[in-house]
Amino acid sequence: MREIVEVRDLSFSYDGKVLALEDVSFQAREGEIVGVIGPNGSGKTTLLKLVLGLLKPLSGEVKVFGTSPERARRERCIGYVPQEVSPDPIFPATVGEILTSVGGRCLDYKLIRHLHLEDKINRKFSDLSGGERRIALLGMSLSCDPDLLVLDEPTAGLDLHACRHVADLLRDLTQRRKRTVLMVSHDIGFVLSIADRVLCLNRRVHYFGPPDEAPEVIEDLFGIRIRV
Amino acid sequence: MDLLGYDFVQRGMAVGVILAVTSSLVGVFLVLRRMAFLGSSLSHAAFGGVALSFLLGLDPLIFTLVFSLVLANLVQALITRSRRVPGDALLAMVFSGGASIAVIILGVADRFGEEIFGYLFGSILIASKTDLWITILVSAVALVFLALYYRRLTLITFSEEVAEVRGVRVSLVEHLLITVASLVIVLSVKTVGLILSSSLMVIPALSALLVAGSLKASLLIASLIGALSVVFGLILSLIYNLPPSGIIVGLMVLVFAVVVAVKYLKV
Repeated sequence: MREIVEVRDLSFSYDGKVLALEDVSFQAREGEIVGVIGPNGSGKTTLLKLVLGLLKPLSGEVKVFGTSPERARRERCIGYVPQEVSPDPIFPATVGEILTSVGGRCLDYKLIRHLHLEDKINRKFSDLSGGERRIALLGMSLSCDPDLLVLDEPTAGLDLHACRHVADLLRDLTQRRKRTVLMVSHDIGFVLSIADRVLCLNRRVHYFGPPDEAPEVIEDLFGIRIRV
Repeated sequence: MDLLGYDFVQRGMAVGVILAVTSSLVGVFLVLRRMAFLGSSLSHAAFGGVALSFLLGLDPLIFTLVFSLVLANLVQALITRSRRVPGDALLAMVFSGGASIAVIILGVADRFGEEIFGYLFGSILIASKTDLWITILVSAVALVFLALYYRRLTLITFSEEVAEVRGVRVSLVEHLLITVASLVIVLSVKTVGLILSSSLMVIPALSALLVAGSLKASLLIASLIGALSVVFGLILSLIYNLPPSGIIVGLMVLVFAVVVAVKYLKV
């Protein structure tokens, strides 16, 4: 299958002294969910930002759709849910206005119904709860019908029902529509249950492969016992 | 009320309403992007620019326009490249820098004093036909920019990172916004004076953002507050023979006070 994201020997430093990432290599194929897990400060969000071209690598290479992330952003639709979006409390844009600012003039009502956003479409984004914001952000990232979906903590603040709904949605995107998902999450159970391949990160890659072989590495990384 | 039949009053009213609507619309995005101080800073920079143009014997409007556009874009470039330099502090520096240039030039060559102050504290009621046409032209440029870039401005105000991933050239949009804002400010300083130009950019936008239920509603409410303040301010200034700029700004502040009282103090 075609490789959508290719990362080779990637290193990055914020201050030029301490490496936030060191020699990281992995790939994400078409129709695949790659889940990135690791302790706080392990470089998960930094890795996503490098894949998206929001940060420049110190060394190594990132290719998205076979080209640079910057070019891929212009040529393809990439959906992105950042770890946190905290607009100014006086920012008055509604969920509907934010969805159209990404997806175009018309709202995709099928997507809105699918995410149960019907009653939130005319509400201000800044008035939503944390969980409602995550769903709205997911809707925003999907509103351009993305070829690649990059998610930073997509289930943070979501209840069990909503988590299951997001999992179904991501499976449908990858299995039926052959889209690619790269996601970072602290919810190890969620990642192990949904990802085709897992990347265990702590500045370096400790493991990259199928989820059923990951628990031993996770035990080392987090000091907790995992059952798949 | 017979005064409303006079050409100069109608022209002043037209210039004021057009500038109020344009400034309020641009102002909503400036306030949301924490650039509200831009109006005051650039109008004071324009003060320095006008003084400099008189000293150098250049056309004040063209020189001040170029001077302010370059300055505003330099500030924006500095904010973009070094996120550690706070934008409001830079704008405060532009504010004082512009005023200090004017003070120095006025001190050295005080023969320009009357002309400079006339230029900067010009009254809306002495707007010429040329002023009206310039106002229409500049407002058209600003409105076309807002219409074309509305979705991109919404997105970068919501999240610059998300906008960048969606292929929006954030820095370019920011420079275009500041350029359009500078254009409106400099020309409105010449037409309606320093105090009114910066107030039109900020006060209606701030009041609207406190009450609006959506971004589109905030743009509509800001324009209405700006336009109605100009209309009623001019009428009151004519009836009571008071300076129009002061009355218009006073009305806008009154609307803001009512909004705050109703919303936060539950009056």
